[in-house]
Amino acid sequence: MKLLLVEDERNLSKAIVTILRMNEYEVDTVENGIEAINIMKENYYDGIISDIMMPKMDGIAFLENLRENGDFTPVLLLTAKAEIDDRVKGMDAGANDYLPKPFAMKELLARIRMMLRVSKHNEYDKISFDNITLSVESLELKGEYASVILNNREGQLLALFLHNPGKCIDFATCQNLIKAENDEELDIYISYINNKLKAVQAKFIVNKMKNCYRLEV
Amino acid sequence: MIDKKTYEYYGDIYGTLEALKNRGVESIEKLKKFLTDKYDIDPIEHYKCRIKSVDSLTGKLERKKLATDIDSALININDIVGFRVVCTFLGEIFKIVDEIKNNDNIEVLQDKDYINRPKANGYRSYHLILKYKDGVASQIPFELQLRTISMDSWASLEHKLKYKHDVKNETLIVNELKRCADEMASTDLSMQTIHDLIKKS
Repeated sequence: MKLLLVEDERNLSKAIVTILRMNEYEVDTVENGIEAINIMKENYYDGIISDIMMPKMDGIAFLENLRENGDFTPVLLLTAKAEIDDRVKGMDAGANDYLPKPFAMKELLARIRMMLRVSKHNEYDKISFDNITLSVESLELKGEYASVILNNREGQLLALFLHNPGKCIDFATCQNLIKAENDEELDIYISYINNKLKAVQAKFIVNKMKNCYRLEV
Repeated sequence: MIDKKTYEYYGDIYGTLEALKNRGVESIEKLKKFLTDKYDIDPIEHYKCRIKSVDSLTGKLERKKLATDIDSALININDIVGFRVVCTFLGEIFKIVDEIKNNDNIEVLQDKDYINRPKANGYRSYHLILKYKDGVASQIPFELQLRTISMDSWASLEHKLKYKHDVKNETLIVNELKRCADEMASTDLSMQTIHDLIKKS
């Protein structure tokens, strides 16, 4: 995993880099928001750790600029303990998390792990329920004798139901997930899913109730 | 007019095979009209029929380690005469299968549903080995394959690749072809869903 550290205080920067490299992260460092913007234009990082108080351009301005340019690389902000406004501004500007200084290195490491885990969805690729498996990566819906490939919206919707079997999931949540324009569009996607479940011989379907959809056996 | 090789191999039985082919075509046309009248939509996109070529037939017998003469072929090979019906929608295939199974003039010798249980490589189709119970050419079995347009196009491509022996990345290609088959199957299901939705309203 590759990280970018944006920190102007040299001693702190060295200490953080040492710990990160000991924990098998690749780390690059820059000293202010402007350098950070430039390096982010050309390079990919799995995550960014950024101080707020820096010369030339502070961490929040950098973050705002990053997000405005459509870059959603996860960012962990290092904030001063008393500055609640900074934390709030930082979170609203698009930070994924913050850590007030001074901090324990082990907490820094844990928050980095958490940030990268959430953004990579690498905890669950295959979702299984009963005799059926859905691969979130390849969108393969597999039963005992046959498999089909779902499209992105079908996959997202079915994943939601497979994670929450038996639960009543309201129409708005479902519609929102796949950005359906209206009830009818949601309905047809549920029909697609049900026909594909049938084709791979699933023993369950998604049923329509008064206010919600529910995966039932 | 048939070529010399075919005439020499098949002999007089060729006439019967032709008659069977014609009878099958008649049956398909009748079925087409019947289902169009019943459901307001012609379920058959197109169909093909053929009498297996000498090379194809003897090749198959050789692969099965059987005698390659016409008598052996008539005993051992079920698809000397073959029909392939391509349907617009998935559901049509099963409608046709039902009609055939309910037909008193036709005997079903073999029934292979590769749609609900596709082959490992992704191949999908419904195969029936049939025989007319009496009348013209009733002693000879024939094969009927039912597919959707997607399944047919996939099979044509796969068939072309099958006969190239020095394909690099064979495993990758096989896997990718299967993925395509699964994607196309998914589209067939979506099309059927839309079709059902329109019918309901």
